[in-house]
Amino acid sequence: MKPSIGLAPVRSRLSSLALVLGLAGAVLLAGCATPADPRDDAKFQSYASATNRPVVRPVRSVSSFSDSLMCMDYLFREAEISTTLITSKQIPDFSTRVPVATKDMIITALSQMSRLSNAFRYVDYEVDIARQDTVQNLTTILLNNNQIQLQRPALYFSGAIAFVDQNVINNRFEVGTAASRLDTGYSKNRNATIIGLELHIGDFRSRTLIPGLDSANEVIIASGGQGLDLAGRIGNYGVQFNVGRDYAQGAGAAIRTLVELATIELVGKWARVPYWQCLTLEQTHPDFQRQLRDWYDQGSPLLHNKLVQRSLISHGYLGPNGTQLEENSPEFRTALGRFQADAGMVVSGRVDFPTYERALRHFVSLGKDGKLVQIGWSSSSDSPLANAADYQRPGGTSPYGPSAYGSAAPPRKISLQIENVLVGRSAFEVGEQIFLSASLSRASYLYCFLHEAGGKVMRLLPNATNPNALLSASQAIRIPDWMSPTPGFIMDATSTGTERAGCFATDADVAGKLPQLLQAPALVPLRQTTSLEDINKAFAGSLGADGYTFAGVQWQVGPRRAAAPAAAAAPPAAAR
Amino acid sequence: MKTSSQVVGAATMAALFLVGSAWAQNAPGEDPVILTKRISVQMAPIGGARPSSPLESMNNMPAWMKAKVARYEAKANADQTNGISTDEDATRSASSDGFKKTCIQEVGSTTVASAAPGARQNGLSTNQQIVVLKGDLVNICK
Repeated sequence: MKPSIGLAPVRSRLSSLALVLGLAGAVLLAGCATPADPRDDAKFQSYASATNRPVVRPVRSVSSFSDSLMCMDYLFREAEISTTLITSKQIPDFSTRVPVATKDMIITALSQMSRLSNAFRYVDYEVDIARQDTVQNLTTILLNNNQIQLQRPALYFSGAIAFVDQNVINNRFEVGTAASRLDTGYSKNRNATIIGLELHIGDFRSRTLIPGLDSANEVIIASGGQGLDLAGRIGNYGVQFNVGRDYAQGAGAAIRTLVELATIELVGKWARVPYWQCLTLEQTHPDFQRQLRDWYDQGSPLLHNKLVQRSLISHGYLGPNGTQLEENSPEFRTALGRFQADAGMVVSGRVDFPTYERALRHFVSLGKDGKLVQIGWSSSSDSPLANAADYQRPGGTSPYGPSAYGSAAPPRKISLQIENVLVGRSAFEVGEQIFLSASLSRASYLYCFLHEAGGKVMRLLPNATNPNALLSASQAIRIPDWMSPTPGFIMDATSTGTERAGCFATDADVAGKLPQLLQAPALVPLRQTTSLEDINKAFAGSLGADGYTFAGVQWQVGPRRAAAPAAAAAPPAAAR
Repeated sequence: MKTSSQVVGAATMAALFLVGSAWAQNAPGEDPVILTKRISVQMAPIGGARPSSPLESMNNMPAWMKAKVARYEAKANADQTNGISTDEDATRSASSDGFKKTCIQEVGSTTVASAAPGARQNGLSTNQQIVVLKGDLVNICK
């Protein structure tokens, strides 16, 4: 007996299908007849603002020579190079292939070499009728009313992006196969381009380029790519697969590298400092960042924290028990923020790759095989290793850096200098203004005092204009700040004798512990304080001998000399 | 030594102009230009430098596209060239109108064999039109 096929279910399915189609048609017609309601998309649209935000934190734009710039800054400070006014011509791009702000990169490089040393001050006066902006218009107005003081540069940069030799070498490889069920294609290419930069330093007074102060360097940027294309048939289905990966090194990073190298060479030669010490740092190795990134990728976030914590202990930003801290502990984040600010980074308070690289960069050297190796640490453990003796410690960018990974922190240092140029003199004259600068080896609270020849003692910093005592190590503190529109005070010698200035640095704010010194009004004589020794005793009594750091300078003030005849007056002092 | 707080709290525009006189002597790194009369800046436009265009490190096709081309080239040389027009598929026509002779050579023209049978094979969709020239395509019109 054959089974019978019922027609009723088939009819039912057909009627259901007709109903669905009818409803769909009605909805479609209704949709066309009424406008779309944007409120229906409100939730979707609400994600737009968050989606529009970049997902990766910005980082400082650096090159292989950025640490060398910091090294030069330390060299200039140690050599007490006085401030020089400098400017630059436009740096044209004769290749027309490199649309890069080369002049601004020179300004940045000079600024980074002057953070602690104040070695260079850039004169920014440019007249271009085609670009009349607020600064330019106001300059013209103020200049004609003697309300602005233009500065005359002593030096200037001149040069050009001299050439771009494109695709000097170029390799290609392509292969394809075809069969009844599978076709394949593969391609690979590589090429290299050379960019050249010429820079010179000129003497502004004579508008001549100084012989020997030239820098002509070139750098290679490369690109390459690989691609794979597959197409085939599996049964009745056709499939296709295409994948490619390319890299293209940009001209911006290449020019920054060339500019920073050239500025180091040129101003190093000009100032006659051993600039080559700063070019032999391991950080100038082209693979330094890539190698550090490889080591970073080998470790877990927890290990990154521990490595950075140990480094911060060795740098003095954390106490000996710093490795016990959680990543989100306020103490760790505060220390991290101070370290990042001192290292010239974008401060985030988080352990990311730039922080890892900055924290561990002093503990890397070249091995016997020419490859970079870790000194005293590894990318798999935060425990200090005993291989430090096998390698010579690389020349650090900071003379204040730790001796080894895992070592105790070096003592904090204050560098206090007189900034006046005393050519052929050993003493100031009465009425002469005095300029000081201080720098710290790590971010600290800084309190500075003055003991003048007349016997009065007063606090210079903090004061009403600069009330914050917590200062970063990345910038010298000018006393008074002669580059600020509101310097707060001026210092000039009033009587003959010996004058002294002293600064005290602490890890924490100690204003509450020493109210008679630190909460009394600044820039007025302190009561019951007759010398810097009194202040030193007060700090030692309150914080202990190891609880603070002191540095002082002193100078002599002599009587005012008779004014020289106008005809014999010396020309304006050279900035050098 | 004396300290003066004459500029303290002078965060005003007026104070901005006092700064120049705050330093009776030059501060470190200052060498002011002394102006004795009204200046007239030669505000001639700077000769505009020729604008630069970005460096094109990839001066030809990217690798992923070249891989696709390599695959099609291989397929064009195989015995099954379904979906791909080659120079062997060129159609030639010549017409003469008095003294004027017109020669036409078409490869992969949409008017000729636009939908080759089996074009869907090996992942090709019907809207792709692949033409691979394996050699020179010369048209001698006599």
